[in-house]
Amino acid sequence: MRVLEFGDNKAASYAGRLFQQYGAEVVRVDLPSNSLPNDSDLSLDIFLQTGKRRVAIDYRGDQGLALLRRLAGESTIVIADCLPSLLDEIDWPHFPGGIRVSITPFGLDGPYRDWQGFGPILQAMGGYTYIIGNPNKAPLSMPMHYAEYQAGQFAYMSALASFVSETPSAEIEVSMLETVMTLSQWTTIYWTMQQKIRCRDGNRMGKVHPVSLYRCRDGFIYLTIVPTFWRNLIAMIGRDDLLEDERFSSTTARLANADALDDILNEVFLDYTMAECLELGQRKYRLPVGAAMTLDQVLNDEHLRARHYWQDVNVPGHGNVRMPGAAFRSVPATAQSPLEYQGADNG
Amino acid sequence: MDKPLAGIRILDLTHVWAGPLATRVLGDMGAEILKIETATARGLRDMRIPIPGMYPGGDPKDEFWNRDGEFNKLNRNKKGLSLNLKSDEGKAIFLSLVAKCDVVIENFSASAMNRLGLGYDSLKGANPQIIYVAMPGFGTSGPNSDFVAFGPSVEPMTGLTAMMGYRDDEKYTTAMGLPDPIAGITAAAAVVTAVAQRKETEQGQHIDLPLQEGTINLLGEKYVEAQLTGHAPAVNANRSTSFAPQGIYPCAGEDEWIVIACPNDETWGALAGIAGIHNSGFETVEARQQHHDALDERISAFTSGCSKLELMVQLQDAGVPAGAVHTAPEVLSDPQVRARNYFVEMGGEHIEPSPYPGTPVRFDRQRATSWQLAPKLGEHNEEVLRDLLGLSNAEISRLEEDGVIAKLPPTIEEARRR
Repeated sequence: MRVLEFGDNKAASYAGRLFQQYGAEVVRVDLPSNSLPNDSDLSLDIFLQTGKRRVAIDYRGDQGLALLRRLAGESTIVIADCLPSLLDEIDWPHFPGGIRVSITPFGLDGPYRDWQGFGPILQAMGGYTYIIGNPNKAPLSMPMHYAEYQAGQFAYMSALASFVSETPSAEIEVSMLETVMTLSQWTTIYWTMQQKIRCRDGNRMGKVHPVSLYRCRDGFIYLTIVPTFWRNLIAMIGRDDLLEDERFSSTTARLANADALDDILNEVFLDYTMAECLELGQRKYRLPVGAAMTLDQVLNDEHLRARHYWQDVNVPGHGNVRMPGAAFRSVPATAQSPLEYQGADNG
Repeated sequence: MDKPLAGIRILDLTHVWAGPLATRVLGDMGAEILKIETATARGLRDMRIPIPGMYPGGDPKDEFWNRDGEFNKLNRNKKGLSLNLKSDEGKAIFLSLVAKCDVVIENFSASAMNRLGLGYDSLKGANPQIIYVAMPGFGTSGPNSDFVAFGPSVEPMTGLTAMMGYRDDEKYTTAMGLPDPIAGITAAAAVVTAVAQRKETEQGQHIDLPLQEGTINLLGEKYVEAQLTGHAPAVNANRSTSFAPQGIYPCAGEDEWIVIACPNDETWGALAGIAGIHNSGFETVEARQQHHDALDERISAFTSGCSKLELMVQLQDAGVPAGAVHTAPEVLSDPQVRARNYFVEMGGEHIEPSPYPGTPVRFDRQRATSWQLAPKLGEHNEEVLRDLLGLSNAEISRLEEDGVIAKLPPTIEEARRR
């Protein structure tokens, strides 16, 4: 299987990354560029493009477009994440290639079809951003390419499903805004069922408590104490007195007195380190506790190392870096083959 | 038009969010989903007591277990079989179904299926080609594999919380359990991958898909950057490392906001023109990064007097990437969303018609049709047991009497018998 990908919104590249992991030959077409990438851009390029064949073509001109069409004609699947206006220019409905997949910010039709949409814009318009952050401050975007990569996952699975289908589609369309809306939690449902708007509530989830982020001695921990775990939390922190406290005597009471409960827990956990919270909370009291690990801690985490999660990539000038490997793997997990990164102009 | 996964049958043991989302997506693409449920719980809800849920009009009515909006959102296009997997007969029926299916998917804790005697070896014994997808929080191996995992507490273990907030010392989570929707879509991709591989090799497989690893994958470039530079990416609130200015700015009204991003000098020039900001000193992205605080003040002063929806249109028409921070009703009423008929109206005799999120994928430019409302508890008990396993009506009645299958939560059933 040969997959061709081009465009500039990261979603096609994430889909291509999945096809590369699946074992397809993936050809990435970049637009020529003279600018030097900063650290963030280079990191993104390493993460998304390692393992692919690369070629730089200016497909905005006739000659380049002809070359792109020839490459597409040799491909099983062609994935593009351009704006619809560029897809119009390259005559997308008649573009060569087995299965054509477009990933656009707002879809191929509708009043916003030609609007520009980056991750933070799509998170906001899709209903994610409004509920994240401090209620007394601006909402927060997630510092990641969520809409892009999730749309890439939809593109990958749709194209692969179509490829193995008895009746493959010629064209698949993925909307990134609709991707975000598809992955909503209880925002639109809260409105359609009860005409209530879910608002930002800091780190709380709003339906049961204590479910929030708490300071500890060396960082933060997250507790997800649904009612089943309440007694074990009390046992862990040695505060049997809270079992007798009317303010916390039921699920409803704990929710109603969340501020008071948080004051107590924030004070209690200052005596613990993140590691102690995990050891005591998870291993002894079987509680859903998570520690706010730094990237360095995650990179050196014993659990992930034991699972052979990281994949080594040799980056010229930098040596080996560890990159997330496949997000799903056959059991038992084994070491993943190292890869070689090639920059955009080495294709 | 046939959907691409037509002919693929999936046994769905998942609950809460990540797993049901995965099978909803697979069902949207045409797979036949057989949802196996215990009679005592749907999602996290203990059905023996009517606790607050998201019911239409806030009213649980008599069949509260069939009326929860979240459950109905996540479980459309599925058939429902209520089966007691703790009984020997329930296990035997389950393994008979495994023999008739292509995929088994579950998101229990790592050891739950083995404790039930239904681990991969048992499933493979019933169907050598079975694809088995497990979605434990931290995987089926490794020192943390038995950690208790819910999406919200897994999220900080991915590094996301360390990067997210207003400042280094003021950290935030998404407060929604982001590993769940990530793992859900990753799991759907995993199933399709395994189906494609089986077509080539005729082999099934056991796939492991931890919530933690799925989310780390979506942060991949951050991990690369941390190693290249020797330090973690800064906590950047709503700013970008490449674009400037970029931020979330206040608009007229209470808690009204707009996202604006300027990926290049041209878009910045257009924004400056509309906002009446003198461009001198801000011509380059480096200068705009350096003076971001001052720029944000001027942009905010302008946006504060604007309607977020009108400004979004004005800026986009001028080529400036912008988007209103939508509340839920604004998402539903957005002109683009309505023009593309994204939301799907579904209802039944037990639940009022309501719009539910659709799918972001169109095959050959067509919206999927034939949406089926989520099954009521045990709605397809007879159909599945009769059509797939050849059981007689008498056998099915006996299974119901013995509590192996059910259509009502236990206490409701007992009350009605009395």
